[in-house]
Amino acid sequence: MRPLTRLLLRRSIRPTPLRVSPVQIACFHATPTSRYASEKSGLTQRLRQKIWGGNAPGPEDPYTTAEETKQVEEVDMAGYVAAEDGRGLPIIGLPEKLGEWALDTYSPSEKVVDTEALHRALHRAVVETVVLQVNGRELDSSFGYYTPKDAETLTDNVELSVQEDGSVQIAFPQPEAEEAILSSLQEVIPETPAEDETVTTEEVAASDIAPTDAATAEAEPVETAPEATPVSLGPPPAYLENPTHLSIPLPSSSFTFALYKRILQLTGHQIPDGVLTRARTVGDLVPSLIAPPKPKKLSEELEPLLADLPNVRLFEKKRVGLDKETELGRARKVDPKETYRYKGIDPDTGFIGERPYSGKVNDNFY
Amino acid sequence: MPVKVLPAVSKAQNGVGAFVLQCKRLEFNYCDAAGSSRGMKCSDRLFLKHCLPQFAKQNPAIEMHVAPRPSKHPIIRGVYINGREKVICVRNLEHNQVLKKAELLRNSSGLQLRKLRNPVQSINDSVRGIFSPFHGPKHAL
Repeated sequence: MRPLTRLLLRRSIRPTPLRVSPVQIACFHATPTSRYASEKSGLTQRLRQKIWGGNAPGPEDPYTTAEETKQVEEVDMAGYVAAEDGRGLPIIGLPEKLGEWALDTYSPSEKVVDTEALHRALHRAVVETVVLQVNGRELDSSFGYYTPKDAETLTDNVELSVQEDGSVQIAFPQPEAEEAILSSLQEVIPETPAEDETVTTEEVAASDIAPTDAATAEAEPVETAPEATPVSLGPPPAYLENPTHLSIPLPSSSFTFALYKRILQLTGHQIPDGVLTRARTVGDLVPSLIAPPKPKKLSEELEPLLADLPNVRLFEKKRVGLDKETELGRARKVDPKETYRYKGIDPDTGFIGERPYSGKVNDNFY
Repeated sequence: MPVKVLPAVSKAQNGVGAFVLQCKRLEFNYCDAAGSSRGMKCSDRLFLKHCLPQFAKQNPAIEMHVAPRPSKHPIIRGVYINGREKVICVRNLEHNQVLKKAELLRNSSGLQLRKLRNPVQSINDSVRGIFSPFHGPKHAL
């Protein structure tokens, strides 16, 4: 087809400029006889202009323009020894004090299994999360890696309840309890072992002689909140019999996640994401922590009723053919250990074994 | 000579002299989880809990076995003295219906179910003899 005819056809079928797609433009201008071939701006520039309207990101010509070469600082490689493993190398991305390879896990290594202990931990987590929220603390950054998780808590006698209007009421046994709980949640970052290694022998001797002075010197600038008397785990608390804390609603995802973090830290139990997103109250999280007791079998219920009947026999397990044959005396349950005793393999005769009942030696079982 | 008595051995008929119960054992199998075992084991009206003790006391000659059979429908298996067994599936039945099935098995013998073509069953010879075309009055057309 002649170029002019081709051009006229394209012009006749070309849609309005507003509806022209960049792909169509590329097709129109692919031929060397297109009217845009004589323009100085390249295809890339025109496409960018059409697509972005003048505010195109990135370099104008990513294919031909060379990037500015960065000046590489020359490093003195004298004395460099390549590391064989990662021990000793700096760690990037963790807080300062966590730059150690020997890390404790966020959650305890052993999960809490006792039901009462789980309820106590759940109540404690709920109280601490509610106290943080009431005091306007950030829930996202709460319950960090070094938040204390001691057994003795100040939350045992704190009562949580939901009012008729849906608001949560929290009652502290003592006025100082709230401040004490808040101060107990502050992270206690331990000293790094690298600082201790740099201590010389003279300093070690001096510190051994007067350890109290160093301890008091470090403790003076730290302000401590008034300590409330920690409650020991004596008689079971009231919330075990009347668990009002389970009906507390979960107002936001940050509250739920903070609560889950604390539960994980105290108990080691993980809660699936589906349960977390679907939970509306604290009680919805309980089945993931405490498994319900196994349902009773019918044989356990029938045993006292049928024990006196001489013609009734009750079995706890399924009866298989071997059980019936054994009752008749036609079959005998054979202990696999009693079938034979392996004594080795003789290259000439083959398998060497002994049947305990017959006492035969070199009994070939093949 | 005096008439000799034909020697005849008495024909045994169960129930004439002595009665021997044909059913020697009833096995009740249920599933702890399945819903079809509800009539056998469910809470208010348990067959196994309420009906079976009384049924066992009424039938001391029959051995009763109660055993779970997981993931299966509940059944009652009757074992008879001729060595045969009869099994009735009692899935989705109520406790009174299960009891009726148990009584049905108790009342049965181990004989195979067959169609009774003749309503009269007797071990005695027929009084008038078996039909013969060669005997009897001659027919006249």
